[in-house]
Amino acid sequence: MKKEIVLKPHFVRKSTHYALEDSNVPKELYSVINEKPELEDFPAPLPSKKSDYTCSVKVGNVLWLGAETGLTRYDPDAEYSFDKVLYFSADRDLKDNKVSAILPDGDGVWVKTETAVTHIELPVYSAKEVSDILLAETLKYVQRHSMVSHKYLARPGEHDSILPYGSCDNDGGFTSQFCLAEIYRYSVLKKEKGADDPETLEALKVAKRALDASVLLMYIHGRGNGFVSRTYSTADEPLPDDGLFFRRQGNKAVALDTSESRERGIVGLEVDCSAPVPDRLKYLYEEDGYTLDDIYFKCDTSSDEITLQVLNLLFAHKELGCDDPELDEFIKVTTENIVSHIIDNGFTLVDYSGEPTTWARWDEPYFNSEDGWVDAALNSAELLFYLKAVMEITGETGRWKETYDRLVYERGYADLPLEHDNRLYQISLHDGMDPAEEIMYGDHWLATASLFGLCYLEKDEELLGKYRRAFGTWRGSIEREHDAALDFLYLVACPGEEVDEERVKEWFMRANISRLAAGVSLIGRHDIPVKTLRCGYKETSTLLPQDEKFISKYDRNPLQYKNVDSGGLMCVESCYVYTLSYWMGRYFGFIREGEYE
Amino acid sequence: MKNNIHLIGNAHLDPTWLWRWQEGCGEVLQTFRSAVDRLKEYDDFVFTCSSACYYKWVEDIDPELFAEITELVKSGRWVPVNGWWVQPDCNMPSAESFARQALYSQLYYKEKFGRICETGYNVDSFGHNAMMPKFLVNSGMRCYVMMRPDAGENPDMPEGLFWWESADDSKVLTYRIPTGYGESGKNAIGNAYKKLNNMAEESGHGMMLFYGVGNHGGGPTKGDIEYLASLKAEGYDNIKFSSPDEFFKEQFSMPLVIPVWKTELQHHASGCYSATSFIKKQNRKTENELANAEKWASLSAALFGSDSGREDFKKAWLKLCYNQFHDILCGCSIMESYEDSAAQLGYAQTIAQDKQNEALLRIAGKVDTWLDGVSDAVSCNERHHCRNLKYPRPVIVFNPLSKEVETTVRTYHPSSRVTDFEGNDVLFGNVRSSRSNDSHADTVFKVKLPAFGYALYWLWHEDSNAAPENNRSPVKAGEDTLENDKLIAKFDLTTGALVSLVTKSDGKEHIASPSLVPLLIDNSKPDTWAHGIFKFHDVLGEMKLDEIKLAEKNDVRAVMRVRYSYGKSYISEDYVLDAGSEVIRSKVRALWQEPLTMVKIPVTVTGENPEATYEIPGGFIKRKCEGYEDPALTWGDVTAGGLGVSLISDAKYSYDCIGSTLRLTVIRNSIFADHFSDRPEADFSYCDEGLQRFEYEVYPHAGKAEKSGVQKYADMLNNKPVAVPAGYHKGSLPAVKSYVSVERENVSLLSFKTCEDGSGDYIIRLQETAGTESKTAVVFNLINAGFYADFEPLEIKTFRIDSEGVVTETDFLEGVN
Repeated sequence: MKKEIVLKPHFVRKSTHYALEDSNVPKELYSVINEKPELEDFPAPLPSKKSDYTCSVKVGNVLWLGAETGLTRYDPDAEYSFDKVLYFSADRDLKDNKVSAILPDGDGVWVKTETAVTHIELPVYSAKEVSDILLAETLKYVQRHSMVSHKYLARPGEHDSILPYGSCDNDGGFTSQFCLAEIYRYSVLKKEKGADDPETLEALKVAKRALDASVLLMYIHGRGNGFVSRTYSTADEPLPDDGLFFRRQGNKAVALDTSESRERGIVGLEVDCSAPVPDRLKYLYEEDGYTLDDIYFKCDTSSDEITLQVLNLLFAHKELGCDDPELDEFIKVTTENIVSHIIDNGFTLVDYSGEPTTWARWDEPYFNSEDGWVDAALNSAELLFYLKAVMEITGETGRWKETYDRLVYERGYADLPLEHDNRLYQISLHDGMDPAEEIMYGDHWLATASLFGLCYLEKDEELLGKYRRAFGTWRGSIEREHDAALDFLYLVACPGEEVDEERVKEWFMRANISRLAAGVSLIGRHDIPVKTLRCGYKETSTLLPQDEKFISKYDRNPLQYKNVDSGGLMCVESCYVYTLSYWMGRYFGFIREGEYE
Repeated sequence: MKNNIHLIGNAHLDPTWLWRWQEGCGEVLQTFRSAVDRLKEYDDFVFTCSSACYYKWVEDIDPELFAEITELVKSGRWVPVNGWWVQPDCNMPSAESFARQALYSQLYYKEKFGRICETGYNVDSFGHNAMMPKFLVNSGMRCYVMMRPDAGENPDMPEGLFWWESADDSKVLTYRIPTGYGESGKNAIGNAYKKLNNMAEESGHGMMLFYGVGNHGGGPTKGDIEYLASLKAEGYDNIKFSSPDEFFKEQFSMPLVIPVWKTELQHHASGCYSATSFIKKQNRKTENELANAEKWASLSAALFGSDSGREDFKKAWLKLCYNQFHDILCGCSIMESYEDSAAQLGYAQTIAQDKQNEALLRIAGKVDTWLDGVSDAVSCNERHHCRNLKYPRPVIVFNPLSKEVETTVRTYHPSSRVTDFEGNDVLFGNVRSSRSNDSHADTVFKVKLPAFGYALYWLWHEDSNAAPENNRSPVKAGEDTLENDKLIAKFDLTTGALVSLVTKSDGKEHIASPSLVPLLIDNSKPDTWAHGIFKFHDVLGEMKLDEIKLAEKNDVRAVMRVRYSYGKSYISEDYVLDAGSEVIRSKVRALWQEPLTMVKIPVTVTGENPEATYEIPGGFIKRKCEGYEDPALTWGDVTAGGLGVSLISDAKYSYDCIGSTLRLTVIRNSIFADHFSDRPEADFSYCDEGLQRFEYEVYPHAGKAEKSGVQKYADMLNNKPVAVPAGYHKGSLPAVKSYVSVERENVSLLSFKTCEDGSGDYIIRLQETAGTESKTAVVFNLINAGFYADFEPLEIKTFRIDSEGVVTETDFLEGVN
């Protein structure tokens, strides 16, 4: 983008549901006579089949259309083309999709469906207000031991039914992304409002806590060697049957009984965990009354954790460390420990067993193996990024530079990222799949973080050119997402490139005001073609706006033709998907707030 | 093994070239018989053959042989490749033609052999456009074999294996044959083996050795097969009888680190895009007529339940597909073969015209054109005019494009007034007709038409008392000037050259030096293909101006007529500027009788750092302005300093660009099929001898060519609206109607047809044209459907719509496979 995008305040969807006979429902709704709409030659695609529309009401030029398959709003005068047609569906917007009556109410409507009445409002918020609301929801409902991923519900769609436990995988990575958003927020607010402004101070506080929470994962296992746990839980939380967990018991940690540990034959295995947790981090579990003996941590960490943590540490150093030397020193030591661990262990992350974990390998033997050959394009960039980041954070070169130079100039690591697209495609040929079926969506963030980091930090023009070209090899699949944060980092890394401004606006303006999973109706939508890939995976032919598709973290195919949120209906997700994009966009100057009209 | 040499037994067959198709057909039968015999004799031998057309010939003429082949295909001994009808020229067919090459062929293979072809295979085609990977992937093929240009012609291109990507990110694993496609004899095979073996060792991957005698040679000989078998027995254990399919499978099962190529594969035979203007024009005309007729027939089927003509269209498209065979479309076959092409393409055009006429008249007959009183008794005078002079005549104008268009149309009668369906006057002019009877005049009038639909206009008879009430024409003209509301064009009265072209919106001059005067080039050295010659710069001179005059000026347009001569030849051009138009259209009549010459139309733009852009099948390409003769479809463009000029044509395919001068090649008068010949004396026939008519347009614009709207003007020139004079009748259809519209200007409707599985489902194919990632709405008011779709730059997408309006995305094969 060549110019800053102005995000004008925009409506968001707000649905309030009532029982059919609730006294708060306007009585006129039950007697209103809505005409069956005449839709021949309708000038826009409609989400429901035309013959399914049974009732309509016009307010000014805005037409509300009720169907057996949901509610449609058509505004021919909408400022943005993406606002012309809106689709409201169950469960997120309506209780069910069978609309039988519509009563106008300002910019919104009362809607009677088969099982309930829903009051739909379209209040206008600025992008920052949306960000603040989402942040507040996350801080209130999603945090778990200050880690930010998602939490479960007892009843779908009800915040009040929140359970005290939630996700137990890659918490460090997700928390790092949340933290990064808060670091950017702090930096922007500090510049705009001053360091002492209460909002700035609040942002700093949230950022530091999140940083501590993610860094704690490097110490919680008690090995003291720079290894990073995926997550940890406390004894009063259920043990997920998903991976390897060790329960701390004094200076020993014992492998818990899960399918994975049974398969590996390590149930009951004791490992050393005597290395201390730094004092500055203990508050994270002690404030809730826990001790180290209450904790069980997860092993078999993937490179995801490391990459997202290192990106976070890079900006924590840059934006938080400058005002807090003690914190900065802690960041330096943390980064050094992680990267040292990787170098000292032959470019792998070594688990309790002394063997590399399954998915944290940046070594040539792995790259030359059948499993690692495709990963080499990403993992080589990751490792180079860690080395550039540790040099930047520590201000030192030494073994970091020596390793970096060796990998770049002797081992060809800077060339491997250029191979990403070719290798992915070749694998798809080998497997008889569509390339789209081979995409790991989580890799988009890892590639963007690594290649952004390399382009951001590398000064050598030749290497910079390689990294930028390598970034280009990823864009074909990354652009499928139109995630604003991924686009912004690409634009910082590759200043001559462009992204579609309209898509960026749509991404922000058509966001959800809550990350509460509720589900939307997608299957059966009449305006969305479905494409079946070679091995049967179904995708939509167009990327839907966020308020009409499922809610997920960063690691899902946004084109998937499913009408369920990625975490299922029983959860509330973290806000970082939105807040990171928003504050990153502000931080790098891609977006700014427009005025209320 | 990593470095296996795969032995590909094949027979390269040109079904038309230095012989006519009937002989080619016989040659196929003989070769297939021979190949079957060899397969029976040698257990290890595998035979590979392309082109569904050949299989269909054999099926029809020798079903017993076809049955044997079917069994051999099922057992993997006989491997069909290239899911296309023939090995077409790969630079001139439209995107839709490539789709049809695949559609009919792959479904044929599927029906007969239970499988589609996995490997694309155009080993003899003379160059390959940059969007080929897109076409191949959409055809179900992700691997490709090609040969031309060779390493001497383009040393920058990879040899052996490489990834080839098109601008939409489609990718195919491609093998460029480093030796020949038909080695035969111990020496040739031995040398090829040595070269390929070295390459395999150096590259770390396998190679393919193609052997077998082509055209009239019967394929792999017993001697070749036995020699290869003996090599294997002697310990050359990295050779294996194989097929391209097996070769590729082996390659993508091992780690490959191979080059990536992201543009076109040129140049080999640079004269082929201008040789034999007849076949070029007929190709374009047939492509457009078939696509448009099929749209209207499908619309008629949807509206009235009539037959969409799918089977007839299939026959017609297959005639076109055949004539896109590289030696035919490239204009380098024998003269007599073009009589066959005229008949075959005439057959296809006749189907198109019949089907379109049926559809349009059926639709027109349902439009309400009734006027009360129109059937009242008329006077003798009116009877003389065959109509009631008090009432205007309805004319329904149909627009085949998915965009609203404003243009002019012609009817073959003079008028005194023209209005639109709401009674508003529209600009018109009575212009000299092509006939010379008592009226002498046609009506040209301005129309504004909805996307893929029609609008009703009313034309009053010239003898009626009607007159326009408030027409304000922007058209002006002087003896050397044409002007409308968008452009001012000025001509040099001594040379006929266009010397100034100003866009009124910004006051910018687009022409740097005198332009458009036909330029003669010496074409005596190149053979028909122009083997080894990639630039045509030997200028003989400009044509001499015989006459320039303002031939026409009325409310709707002005026309400057310019006539040039050279030797026994002349070129006459009518430069037409319509009201509201951003282009100058030249209607060209050329009578050419100069052997071994070439004619180019040049235009030179202002500004520095010129950039040449051309439409290619399924997209556009940027090329250096270094004077190479290059293929293009409907437009070429040179832009410098933010201002550009496009040359758009309805019949031509060849350009060069030297610095800021773009030149459209309009005539190339070579000897037919002059192949590296020393031309022993004869009464030669020349491939561009005689009369030809075509049109081209000059489009000045600001900014990048691909984003300037040039594609829309090119589409309009090549797909003109059809004016249907109607009768007076009541009808259920309104006066104006759009059936399919696409929101974004840069997404074009290529095809609207019924599905080949006979389900009655509809197929819509759309193409992004400006190189811009786009989301577009498609409104399909015909059967209760409308949908959104995302497009990568230059992406092509095919959608299937069922009777309930449910839309699925598919590919060229329509989900039938």
